[in-house]
Amino acid sequence: MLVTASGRFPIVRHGEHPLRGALEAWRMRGATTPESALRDPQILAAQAEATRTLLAAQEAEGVDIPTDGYIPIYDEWFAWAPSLAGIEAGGHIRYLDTNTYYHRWHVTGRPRRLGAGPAVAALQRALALTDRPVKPCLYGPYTLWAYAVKDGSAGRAGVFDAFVEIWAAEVAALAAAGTRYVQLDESVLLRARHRADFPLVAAAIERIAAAAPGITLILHLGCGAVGDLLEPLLSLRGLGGLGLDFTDVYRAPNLAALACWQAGILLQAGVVDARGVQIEPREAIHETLSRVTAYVPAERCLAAPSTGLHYLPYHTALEKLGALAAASRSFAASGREVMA
Amino acid sequence: MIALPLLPVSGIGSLPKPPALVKAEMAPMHEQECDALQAMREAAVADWLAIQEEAGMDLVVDGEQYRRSMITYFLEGWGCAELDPDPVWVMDNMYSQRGVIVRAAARPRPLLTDWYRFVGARTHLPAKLTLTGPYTLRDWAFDRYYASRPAAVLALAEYVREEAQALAAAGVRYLQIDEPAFVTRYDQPEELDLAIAALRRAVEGLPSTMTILTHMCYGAFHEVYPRMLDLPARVFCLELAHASPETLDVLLRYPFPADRVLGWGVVDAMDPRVEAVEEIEARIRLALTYVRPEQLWLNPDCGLQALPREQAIAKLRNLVAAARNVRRQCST
Repeated sequence: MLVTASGRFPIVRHGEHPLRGALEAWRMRGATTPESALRDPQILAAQAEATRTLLAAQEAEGVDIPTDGYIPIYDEWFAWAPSLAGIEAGGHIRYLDTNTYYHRWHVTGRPRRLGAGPAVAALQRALALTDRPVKPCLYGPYTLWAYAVKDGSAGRAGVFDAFVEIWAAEVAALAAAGTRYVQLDESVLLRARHRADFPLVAAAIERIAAAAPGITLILHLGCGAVGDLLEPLLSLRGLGGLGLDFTDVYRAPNLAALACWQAGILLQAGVVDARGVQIEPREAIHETLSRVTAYVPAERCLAAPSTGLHYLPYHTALEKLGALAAASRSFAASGREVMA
Repeated sequence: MIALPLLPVSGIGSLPKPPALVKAEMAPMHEQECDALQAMREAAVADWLAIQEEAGMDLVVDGEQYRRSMITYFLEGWGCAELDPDPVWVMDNMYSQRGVIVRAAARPRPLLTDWYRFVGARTHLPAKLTLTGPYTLRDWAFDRYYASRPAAVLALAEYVREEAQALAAAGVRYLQIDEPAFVTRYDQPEELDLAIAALRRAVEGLPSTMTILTHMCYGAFHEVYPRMLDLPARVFCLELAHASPETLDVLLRYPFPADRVLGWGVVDAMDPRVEAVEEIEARIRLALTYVRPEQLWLNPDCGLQALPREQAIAKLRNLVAAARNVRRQCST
């Protein structure tokens, strides 16, 4: 059973922000637009250094498939917008129930990819720093579309189609840059009012997977119960893995849903809570893994946090990751997954 | 008491802090000098009161200059939480230390009455006091103590209630209880029920002469409207400077009730670009297509703490100018 991380990391330790100096210098130079920060050499260098630290931290904690350690300027949505035509980074909106705020996209015309987004550069940086397979984690097209202001002329369906085209090209670019895994986060799909849009997401995933057939495309659905969506998800062509949340109130319903698991794809099992500060005891992680592997073979499971760890303080995030890796290894060594 | 004019203008709560105060608050606790910090906070509140008076605001706020955050101020002050040393990402390049609830309130006591008296002694304008609601207090903290979310929220409602009762006794007429987290679990009816029940408990027994306001921001309002009207508030201050088509649509389908007041956000609280007076006027006129002038209060989208001081002041001035222009048009 391999261990992976699920998204972005916290970066500020005891008040020290690794990009602070570069950001202050950028401001002192009289930068006029936030977008100019995305091309600032000093900020880019600080980002690279922070990536090195985050990759080393993941390796030290025992993560087999680390994330790219990407630290976006402002946020991932904001940072990607300048690489696209027909999109402007708009005002803030709160993401799910996380008390974090992203720049929602404002669709001003038919969206189009102008070039590689920042995730490709982040992947290349990370691959130069580690021999481990690096997993870029992106929000998916449905999430950005659901949160976008869509008053452009392209129409809602046309805009979504354009989004999927962009993601297909981006994931293909990530594959060409050397990744074996890509995680797309579409957790918003599990919210009640979005579940009816499953056909949209399904078609999008199949199209994106077809654009990069050599990689394992993992659809991450955190902070929710998958319920009756699991069965149709498992039949999606090209889907290589599914990330589910087995913590907090989602543990019981998602374990129950696993009864219909009959696929050969990976299950990225979120077994430590990325939203709470309690460090899960080894026995609790073993118990969850035991329940999970009753339905999904251990060799098809990735042990993971329930979602990105950037909602937690730095020291807690790393402690959780360490606890996860240690418990997963001892679980595998105990052979309990065979007994389950 | 000064009566509020048509289209009254007020801030939402927070205002930018002087850099020296921010730096002093960031120092390790053992290095902080309590008396010096208190003096800086008082000076900052007094400064913002003068600025708001000069700008022509109708209802002033204290700018929350004495709060490190809208969550930790209360949780720490009541003695039920500790601060985690590593701050957590909130947005852009902003990070914030989060409180961790570790016990029941050790010293529940009113935190705000002294500040209300401080404000009252320095301005002739009516003041609006701001409190964070129990649902948001739990949602935006970590919890190591309570057995469940409802248990935590309802316990916090009791502490908020004590605070509100003390403010009522001190003579507060305008009390805003912020519940921005109300919009986050919009499709979980039991969560909305919990937030509503907690706020009802928090305001139980407050005098009818007190105007209760609530504030929400940066969420999909159309998902919780009209359910949000079950919250026990007369004035709903919402972030609407960039109102989404969905929100405007739902306001058309379910007109805002005549016995409530909409505090329409007409100034962006995050973007440092200062909106022109005409731009703000246009937003006010848009608001007036949804509610009558008597039902409309004007405010920024949210607290202005994230903005540079000069831009925040300029935004307040332009907001007042726009309100006065539209007010004149309404009364002719």
